[in-house]
Amino acid sequence: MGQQLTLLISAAEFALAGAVLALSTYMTLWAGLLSFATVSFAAVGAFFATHLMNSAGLGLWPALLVGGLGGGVVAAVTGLLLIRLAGHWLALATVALILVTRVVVVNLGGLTGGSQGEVVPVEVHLWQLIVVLGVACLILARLARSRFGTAAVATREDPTVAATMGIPVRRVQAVAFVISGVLGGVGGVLQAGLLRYIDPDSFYIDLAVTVIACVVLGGAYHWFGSVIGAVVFTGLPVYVNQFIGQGQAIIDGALLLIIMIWLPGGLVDPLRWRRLRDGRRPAPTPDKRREPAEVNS
Amino acid sequence: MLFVQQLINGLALGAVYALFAVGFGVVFSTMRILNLAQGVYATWGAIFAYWAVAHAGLPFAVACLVGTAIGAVAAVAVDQVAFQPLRSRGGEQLLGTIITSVALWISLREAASLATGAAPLGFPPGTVPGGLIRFAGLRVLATQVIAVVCAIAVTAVIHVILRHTRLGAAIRAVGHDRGAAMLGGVNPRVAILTAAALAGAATGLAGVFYADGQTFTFGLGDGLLLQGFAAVVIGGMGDVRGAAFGGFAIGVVQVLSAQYISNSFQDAITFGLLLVVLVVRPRGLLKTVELGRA
Repeated sequence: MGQQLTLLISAAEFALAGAVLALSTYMTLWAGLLSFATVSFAAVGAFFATHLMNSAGLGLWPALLVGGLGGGVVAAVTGLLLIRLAGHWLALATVALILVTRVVVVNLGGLTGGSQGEVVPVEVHLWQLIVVLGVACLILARLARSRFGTAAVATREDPTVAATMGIPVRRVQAVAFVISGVLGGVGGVLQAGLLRYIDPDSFYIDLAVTVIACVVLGGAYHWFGSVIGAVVFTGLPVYVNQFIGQGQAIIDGALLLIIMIWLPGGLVDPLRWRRLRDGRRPAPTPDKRREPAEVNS
Repeated sequence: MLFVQQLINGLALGAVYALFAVGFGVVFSTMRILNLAQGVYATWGAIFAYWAVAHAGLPFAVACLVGTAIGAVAAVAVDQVAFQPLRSRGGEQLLGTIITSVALWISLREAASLATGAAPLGFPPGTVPGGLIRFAGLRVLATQVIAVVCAIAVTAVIHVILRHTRLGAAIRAVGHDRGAAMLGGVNPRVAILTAAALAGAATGLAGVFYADGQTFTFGLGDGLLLQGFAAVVIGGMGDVRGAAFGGFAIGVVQVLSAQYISNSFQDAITFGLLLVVLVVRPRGLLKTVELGRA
């Protein structure tokens, strides 16, 4: 029983850290940018903070600040270069960014431990994860109700129309990218604290794939979808692993495929809910004009 | 002389990347799919070619054909399972197809791991053409020649099909605007399946050539995916010749940088080059004109 509890807590911890990373990717999608760069931001945050923890004896909270700052700065620099690329090309460029980040990590042996990796001296506890994720959710919920949120939704739906309405599309996207960087950096520090040992492969393509799966399958049209997605796709496997031996990846793959095909909007899909709700209501009388749908994501 | 020798080795390695990149580029430029399952086609092509040689006792040339065919079959199957349901639903597909391609990637990779017992495989000695051509102090393996010749031939064939046949025009039309292509009398399903099969065939062959000189495991496709991806971005995706050029360039750069700079900087140089190209010339070195709506 005690072992089950430990596993459950461990699953919850990974789910919460994964949720922070998923929110980071959600931030960019919100503004219509398909970016895998979260993993790069996480790597920068994690290695930067771990180095300072090891050399300057930083505690967890300052390390989170440092990690977020590092991720944000990298996001600002890369965003400046990459945001002007159109949809598909940005996705490709951010995949390339992950590859380059790994190479940099491997070759900066003095700071990152190189290919050997390094031990993370500070442990992360469940309550700390809850606090960080809670703050992140509060900020996103607040943003969703702000002018920025509306502008981001408009940018995502149609950048040309958004620009016509006077929305500074590029600036909205740049801000989203930097917030994504900060969240990614913070998430990276949390992830490092959970793993207790990080090497260049801790932040690589497989993490990018997991994170994007969390966001899309959880529901890419509401920030809460990312949290649910992280619980289902990072937390659950940690717990379920004990029951399944070989062939687990086949089941994972089938699950991804099924959800993507039958629940295209993800698990949390405000649009579908609204449609269901409208379906249950009596049909509007012909003379009464329908209100335009409210943008509220 | 060492330089020329390494140049030849680089071209031979680049031939594998070029084949892979051509397959990747065909899918990306005609269907707008970032297909992360592409590497698995190469893995399965290599595994079946290995079985054909080691267990069925078939000659190497037949094994190459088997690998090519398996790649094509895998590509068509993946397309029908993972991409067709999203396509028939319509709407924005980039995100969805990334997820479904990941789904097929991890499933087929795991299946390959189970099928091979996760053990390293290698073509038995004597089954791969072992000829060695000595020329002016250079040593060129027969397999290297075969790989380069095949890469150039496959690129040329796919280029001709895409640019100079009605079927190729149909494929490009569907990639540009499916609805308009259908109005023009194109059967989009045939066009898409042909493109997928072409891409898969080139990738499967790449897998066989990648595996024939070394031991390999079920993870073969993953390394190839990253290098092929770099090749395709550097060369440009609108045109298979660009992708093939990118593949050869990556191969040469990798071998030469390992020889003259440092083994550990090999990836740094490849992927650094990749990022620079993306920032400076996002459409690739061989830029193609792309028309679109605002």
